[in-house]
Amino acid sequence: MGLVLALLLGLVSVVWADVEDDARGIARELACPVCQGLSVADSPSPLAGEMRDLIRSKLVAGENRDQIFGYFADRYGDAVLLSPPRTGFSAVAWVAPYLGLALAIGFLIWAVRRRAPEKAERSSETEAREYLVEVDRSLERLKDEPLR
Amino acid sequence: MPLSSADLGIGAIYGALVAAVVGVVAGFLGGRTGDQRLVVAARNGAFMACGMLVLAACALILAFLNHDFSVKYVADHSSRAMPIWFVAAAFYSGQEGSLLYWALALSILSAIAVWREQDRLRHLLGYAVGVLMAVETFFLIVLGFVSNPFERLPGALPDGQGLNPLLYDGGMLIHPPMLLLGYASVGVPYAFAMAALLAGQTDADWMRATRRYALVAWGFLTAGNMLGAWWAYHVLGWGGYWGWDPVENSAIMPWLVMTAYIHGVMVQQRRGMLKLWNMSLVIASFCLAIQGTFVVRSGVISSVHSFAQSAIGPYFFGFLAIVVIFSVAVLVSRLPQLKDEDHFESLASRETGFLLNNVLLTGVAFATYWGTVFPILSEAIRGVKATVGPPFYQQVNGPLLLMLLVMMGIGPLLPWRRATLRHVERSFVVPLAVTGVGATILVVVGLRTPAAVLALAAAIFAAATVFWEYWRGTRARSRSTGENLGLAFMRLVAKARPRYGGYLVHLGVVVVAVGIVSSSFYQQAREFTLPPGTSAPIGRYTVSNQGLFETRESDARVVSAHIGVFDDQGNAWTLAPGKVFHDNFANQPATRVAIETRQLVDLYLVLAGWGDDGSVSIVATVNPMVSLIWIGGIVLLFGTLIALWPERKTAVPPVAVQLRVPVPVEA
Repeated sequence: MGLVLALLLGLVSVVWADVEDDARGIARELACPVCQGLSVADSPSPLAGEMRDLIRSKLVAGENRDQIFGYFADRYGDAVLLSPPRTGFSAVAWVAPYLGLALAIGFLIWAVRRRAPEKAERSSETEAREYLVEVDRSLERLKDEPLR
Repeated sequence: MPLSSADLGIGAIYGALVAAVVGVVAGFLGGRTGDQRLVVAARNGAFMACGMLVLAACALILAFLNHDFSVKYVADHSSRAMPIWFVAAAFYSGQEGSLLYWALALSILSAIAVWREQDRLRHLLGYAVGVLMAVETFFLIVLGFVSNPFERLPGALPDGQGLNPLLYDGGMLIHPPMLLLGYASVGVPYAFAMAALLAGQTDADWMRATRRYALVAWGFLTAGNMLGAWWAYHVLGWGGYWGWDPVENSAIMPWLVMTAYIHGVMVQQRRGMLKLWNMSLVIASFCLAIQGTFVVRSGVISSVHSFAQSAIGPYFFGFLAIVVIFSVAVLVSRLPQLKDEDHFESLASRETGFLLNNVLLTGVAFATYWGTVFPILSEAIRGVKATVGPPFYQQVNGPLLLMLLVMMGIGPLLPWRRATLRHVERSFVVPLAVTGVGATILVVVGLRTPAAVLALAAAIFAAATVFWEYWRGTRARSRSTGENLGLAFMRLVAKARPRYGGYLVHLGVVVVAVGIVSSSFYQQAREFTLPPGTSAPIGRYTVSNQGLFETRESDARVVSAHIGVFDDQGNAWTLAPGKVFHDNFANQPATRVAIETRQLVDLYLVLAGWGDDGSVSIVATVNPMVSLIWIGGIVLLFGTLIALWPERKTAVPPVAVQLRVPVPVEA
């Protein structure tokens, strides 16, 4: 009997620990409405404490993350969500950084490739420069190799 | 009324303004005409402005130490009961004082740079002084006419307000001055870059100077940001060290762009490429540094850091606009001189690695900038309030930072120009093997989160690269000179300080990264309300309420809970998290965090509240490996010092530079 009770208690505490971690995960994604720059998980304000309790009871009642986010967004507006929604105008927030990066990497590849077909027009100047580049490279190789 | 130090201070600010204006006029004219008498006059103007600002700063500190509460700034930021070092540090705790501090820092750095470079960079000195003093002039106008630290009250108050409770911490003595110094110091490389453009002499000279001062500025910015994280962790009491708050973002952006510049300029020195790009990075760093100063000191964006609010916004905005327009105009006018001398040969080369590193660093900076301004855009365009918080930055910047960590491992192993298959074999096999073994151990030990394993594997790779590079260099030196390995290692580092100091910086970054990854993915937090004598578990610890105590400190009432802690190895100790009620700010209690670090794991306790029955509410957080962030920070700064340590003049100029002298060759 005692063993069964202990097991049951253990199970309850494991489940409870899960709820705690999930609740914290959700609270970290919500902005504390009465603070500046703190999440519900990190805020010491009483309202944030109540919100954390509400998240826990909703999790225990079986609601999922999106339902809970939806509930708070309805109540306090989308600004309560620390990561802006990926729909509507807010999607711009998510797209722009990747667009910028894609453009930059595209530019990089173009910058590296653009000089390739220049071989056709060889002037004495480019020849001289290529010669110097070759000397440069040999010296470089010498620097890398240990002296024997 | 006798002459007080405040009168002296305001006089010194006007004096500095006159000297700075002389510096601007004489500097630009001297730069344009090449008249050395004008350049010397400008230089002396810079020295004079520096002297005057030192005088003004001394006057303000004196006003604080004398408790001259007829000065508004002194009355607002200090009180008689405060410990003396906080009274002195209150100097930069508000807007007026921190602007004075900024101006002082830039003037001292300017004077040092001008003194050091007056012979070597004679041809750039006029314009450099002109630009530096123009920046100084702006700050002095704000200090003299808009936000004057020496402004008088109608009469002297008996006692002052005291310091904002959040600033009552040892970190206050070092973090704000370091970060502001970092912002100000970006002005020096910017000035030399602009001088090179204005003078039309964008050759190797300015680059040497700019690179060096950029590294100094980078070191200050790094230290400022690290100290800021440390302060947030120890004082703010939310269990973290970085919140992607607008002020933090503003502090990290110039750092990111500066980091890109420090890497990009190596490509320019070695291959004569990326000239336009590097110039743009210097300019962007300075604009971001000005913006950072502006954001932290104007209250334009709401943030936990906005300790100061006033009408300086439009002035800063105008100044920033002038800096951007002026810089871009000068840059465009010199475009023909910024043509690259060489071109990329292969995608697999050191220079392409640097370029990708630059794209990633500026990419992180851009995403951060975007996230910071998006709420403003959303409100302005759609009238919809939006919040961009830590989850956004973690999801957008996380992958980019991971790629940077991987590039930190790959980059140093790539040869310049073109990597061959043989080279790849020779360089990559060992670091990759080490990474494979390391990653396997991580999984065997029980790490299961894919992102965490990936990030830690990248960290192992980057560290392996550093050690492999040290080892290869040491072995080669030992073989060629016959020195033993220890001596060979020391001499290797001493002979190529920027390179091997830089690798040490990389190692520091790896250590910091491990700390960030571990503490982000494996943090545990619990809230407890404990009646007297009861206990609760968190992780491998048990915490128990051993009573509530109230004590009195110099100007504050402190309530603290004695929390007994036991861990699963039978160790026991007591922690005392508390709340501090400063007399003049009784409704703004400051948190006193209790942190115990054992085996690199922090137990972080915050007293959230208490009841009449003696019960206490505790927020307990277990933060693994946060200490590594501070340790890594120290390694990183040490590496920076090694890289900066002056080399003796006997060094032969690098081969590539010597050979790029145009040699006429007959066809």
